[in-house]
Amino acid sequence: MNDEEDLVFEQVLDALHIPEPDQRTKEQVMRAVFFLSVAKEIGAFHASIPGTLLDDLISE
Amino acid sequence: MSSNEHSPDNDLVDAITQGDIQAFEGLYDRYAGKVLKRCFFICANQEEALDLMQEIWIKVFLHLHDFKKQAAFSSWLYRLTTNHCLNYIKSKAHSEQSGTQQTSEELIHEDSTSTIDVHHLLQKLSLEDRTILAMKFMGEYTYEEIASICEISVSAAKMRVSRLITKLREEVNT
Repeated sequence: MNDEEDLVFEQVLDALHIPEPDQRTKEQVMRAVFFLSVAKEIGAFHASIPGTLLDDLISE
Repeated sequence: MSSNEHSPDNDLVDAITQGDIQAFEGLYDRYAGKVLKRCFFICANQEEALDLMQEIWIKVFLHLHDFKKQAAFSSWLYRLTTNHCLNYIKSKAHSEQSGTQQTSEELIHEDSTSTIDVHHLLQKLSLEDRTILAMKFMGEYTYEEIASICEISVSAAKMRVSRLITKLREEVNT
């Protein structure tokens, strides 16, 4: 990769003058990530339940 | 073993994969602004760029285990960013096929938060030009990959990137 061309591209991105994402956006992302991590934990918990137990629950 | 293995980014990635959500905030703080700029470069609309950036961070969290540390985390992140934005542009173009199409210039006009600089700079590049530049400098696609995707020869891809960079250099220096 041509470093000089990379540099020009970075300069173009800087020239766009896009402000940093605000705090509210960050909070939204972090909240979503928190919920996803909880969902992952719950998924792992469900996966750890032996299939036969789940079968029993369904038949009830 | 990669020489990148013990970078600050990789330490954060390790912490996240071990369940430390606060470490994710560290990654976000380091790269959110850079990801947003890259989204804006492709879609040329600040509101859309912000939405895309949020989706990308969710994707980062969900796919972090796919990052094998063979390259820098930033390379992996920017490639994910490029692919996500290009998929968005593609699906948007598809859904607009039957409706009224908007050019990137019109989108920039509608975005009241855009500055004159942005308007001036992006107006000079077609969506195809921005896509090629994004693939090359954000997604780190090879010239062979760009040529294959754009259905042009490798030498044409090289020439096009070189021509666009010359154009951008002139813009940045004026």
